[in-house]
Amino acid sequence: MRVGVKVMPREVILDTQGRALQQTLLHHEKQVENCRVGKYIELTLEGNAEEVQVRAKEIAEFILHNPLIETYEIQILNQERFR
Amino acid sequence: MKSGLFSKSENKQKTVNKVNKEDRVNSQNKEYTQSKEYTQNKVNTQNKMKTEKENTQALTGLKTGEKTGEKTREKTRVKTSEKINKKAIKKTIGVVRFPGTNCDRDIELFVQEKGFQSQYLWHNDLFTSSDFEAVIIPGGFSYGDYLRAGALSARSPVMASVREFADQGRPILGICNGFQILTESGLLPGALVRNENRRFIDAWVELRWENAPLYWDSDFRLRNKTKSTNKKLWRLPIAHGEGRFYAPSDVIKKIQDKDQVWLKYVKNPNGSLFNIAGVMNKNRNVVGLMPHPERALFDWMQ
Repeated sequence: MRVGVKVMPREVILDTQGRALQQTLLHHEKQVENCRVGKYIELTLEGNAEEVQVRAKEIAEFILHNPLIETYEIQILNQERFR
Repeated sequence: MKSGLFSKSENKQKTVNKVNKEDRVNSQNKEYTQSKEYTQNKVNTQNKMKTEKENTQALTGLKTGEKTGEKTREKTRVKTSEKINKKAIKKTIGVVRFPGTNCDRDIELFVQEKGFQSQYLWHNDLFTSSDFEAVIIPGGFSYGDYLRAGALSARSPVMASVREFADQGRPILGICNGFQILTESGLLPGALVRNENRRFIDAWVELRWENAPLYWDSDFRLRNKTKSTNKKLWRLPIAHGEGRFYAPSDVIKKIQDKDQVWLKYVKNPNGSLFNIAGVMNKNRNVVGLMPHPERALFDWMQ
């Protein structure tokens, strides 16, 4: 089962990538109020939705995010295997 | 003369290593007590020079003994082992290497210059903590800074041993990427995020001592329980893209209240909170700093 883990920098942390992107957009007259860049990690795990949710959470807390500077969200994508 | 002697001193130490191994089998307890004496007496450089001379004498004595015959060999062996046990045991400092670490050789020279011998530890090694006097995690870009700087290396097998070493209250030093690894592994508080000016900074900075760590003094000599805070300014180079020290306000408050701040920048180069450049853990045995002391070892480097 495919699971997506979205990792975003916390609001208080200066998001350098987001700021650089925002400036570039500004140069091209595409004004955005706020722009933040995070990470998206896709995992393929065995098991049903509940098991997968638990395991993905465990993995995310173990390594995928640093609780001091980042938050994460888990999304269960679909039943198919990731190709 | 310091710079010219690297290759020679290295060779010497290799031979000393061999002899030490033989001795270790014979008398581990002896080694321990005598190595205690060693710290008390042999910290300053003059004494170090003397011991090195005596080493070479002892080693040459051993070689001639082997040529002449069995009786003399036994005699010389006993003599040399006595000499070596008393004077020549150099304590080992472990240098942890990960794929992508690039300051390992600098640290090796740094360690040798301070009168220790170094041993590299690979990222999937497990070591027994009694073998090492201290562990240094050098800088670089371990695992290419994938995911977050130091995130993958903080979960590698060697860190289990490092954590054990830290729990025993023994000295660990993390420099640059080593500092990032230590914060990621939870041995040090806080986190290191991207510089405020969004650039890789390569510069010389001035640092002020806030509190003294338990073992390391201002010349990076390993001493037990350093109490005096050294107020002099340090001038060290920095080279990092992710060196801005960050921690949530409650954590920062705790760090400052418990005097865990080791170093502060005089002029903040990267926007780190409260100008923090180096911190320690609660017991003050694990320390980390962002600047590179090994790149300012000699006067000609500055």
